[in-house]
Amino acid sequence: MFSPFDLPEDIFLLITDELPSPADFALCQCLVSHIKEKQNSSPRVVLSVSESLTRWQSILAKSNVNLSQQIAAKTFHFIDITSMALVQTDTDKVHGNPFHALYEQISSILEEGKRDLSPGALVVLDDISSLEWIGFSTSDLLRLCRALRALCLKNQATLIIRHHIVTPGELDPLFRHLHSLCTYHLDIQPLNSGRSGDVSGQIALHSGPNAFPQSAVKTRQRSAALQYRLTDGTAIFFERGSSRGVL
Amino acid sequence: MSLLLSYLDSPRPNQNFVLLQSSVSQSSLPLLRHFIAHNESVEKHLFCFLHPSSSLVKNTQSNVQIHEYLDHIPGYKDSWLDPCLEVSKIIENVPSSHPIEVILDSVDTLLTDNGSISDTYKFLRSLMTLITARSKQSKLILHLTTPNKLLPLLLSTAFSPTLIQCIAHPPVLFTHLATEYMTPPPPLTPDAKFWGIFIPISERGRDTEALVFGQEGEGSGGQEEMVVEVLVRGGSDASGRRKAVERFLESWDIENSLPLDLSKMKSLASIWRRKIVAEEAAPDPTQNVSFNLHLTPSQQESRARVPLPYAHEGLPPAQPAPGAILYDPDSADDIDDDDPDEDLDI
Repeated sequence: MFSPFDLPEDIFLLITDELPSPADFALCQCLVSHIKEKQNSSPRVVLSVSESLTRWQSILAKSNVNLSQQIAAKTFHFIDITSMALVQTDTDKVHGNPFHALYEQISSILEEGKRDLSPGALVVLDDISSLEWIGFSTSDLLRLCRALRALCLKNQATLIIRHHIVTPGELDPLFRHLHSLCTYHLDIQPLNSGRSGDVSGQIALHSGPNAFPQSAVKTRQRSAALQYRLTDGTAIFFERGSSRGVL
Repeated sequence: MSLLLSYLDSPRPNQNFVLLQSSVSQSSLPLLRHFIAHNESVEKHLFCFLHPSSSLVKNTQSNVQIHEYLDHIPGYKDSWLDPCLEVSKIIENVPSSHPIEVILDSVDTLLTDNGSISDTYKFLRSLMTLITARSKQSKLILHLTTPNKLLPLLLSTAFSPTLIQCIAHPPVLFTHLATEYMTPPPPLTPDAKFWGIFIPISERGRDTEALVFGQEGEGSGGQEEMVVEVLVRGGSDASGRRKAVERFLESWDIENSLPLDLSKMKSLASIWRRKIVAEEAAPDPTQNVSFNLHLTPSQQESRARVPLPYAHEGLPPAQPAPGAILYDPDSADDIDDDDPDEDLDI
């Protein structure tokens, strides 16, 4: 999943980005590679806070992925978390958890996929930071992440969560906890030297605490990060200093 | 031979409590994996509250009983109950005839879920009591991530008089100390000086986080190697004599799950590289020439008798009067001793 990093499945991938280097392209590429690599009917669930389905459809269409067809075939599920979580159901109130109904919905989707013998589902939460900014408590959000992670482990699904780093170098409590849960951490940053026409940013890949050593995944620290350039429909990756027009 | 492993392997009496401390800068889970895999003759009970067992145990081990509580989350499990009671019951039901190791993968999660420091401490204390009541080789191994409000309580002698505390540090902290504070790790620096500088910086945490996650940082701690600070309380030496608190550093090869000598760490190679300053003698230009530059004794004597064309002839010059200007006029000078301003009428 997600060339050129070739990440395995059944992991929890934490994607962090900053304001000058948004990770939208990484989320889209993960989704596109999951759809194209797994031709079976594994469910893909996108939990979106700020982006609409229309935007996802138009971006994925550039990679020849027809989301409408996927939705009709019930292999793609788009859930607007904000509207769902802000309306507290009776079940939510009983459990004292604003995300209980959401959790139940995702659980039924994944179990249905397992029943149909289509393992390897994908759950994308985009993004956890906006939920915090809206007003949900850090403890509720951490429990949501733990619950999603446990659900994905039980159903052999891959979990991807995006988190925005507001102040580079400063670690907020949400990041600390997400980091302790993750298998891998995709660290997307702008260039230290500022904006460039040829290079949009750099990506480093770190092993999280839950990654077993000696795995086949090649990690990259920031000093050896891959650089990327965004094009109309995709992103191009290259080693430092090897881009066209870069010395 | 690793000191840490020697403390774990040697059956020192009453060394029942091991505390593994991680931070966001460096996880000590590689050590926890080693402790789980090590010593397959001892029955182990692994309780997973945060980390899946698949990330802690690579191969199925018959001596390790895994109890997973990953989905045991308040608000997500119908009629959630604090798992502490269940854990205590499981340990109580294990026959006391043989030693066991009880491993809790995340004390923080227990604390977060039940929300009470005192309740969590009471549970852990009761577990410790169960362990100490059993065979002397039984152990309680706890893993937590700092900052953690339970840590000072767990470190106190009231919780356990004996302790082996392992704190994971990223290698970048030591390269920073060596370059910015001119204090490489022992034995390059005397112990007292090193610990005096190292302990306050490492305990602050934020400094290490800035080194790892700051602008110049790599974004993660050591991926292949890490340094473990080990504190042993209540240990004893080979003769059985009790020792005071002992503190030392060990390095750990994460990929191969083995201890490593600090000087063999690749990430600290720049500290240990010795700069050999060879004091070579200045090259002699009179060597290897095609003509003879040496003087015979008679030639040296003749040379010494040659008067040198120096004014002082090697003698120190006579000290002139301070501030005096000595001038010898020549024929072109018009020296007039009269006062040139004599005819002025101001």
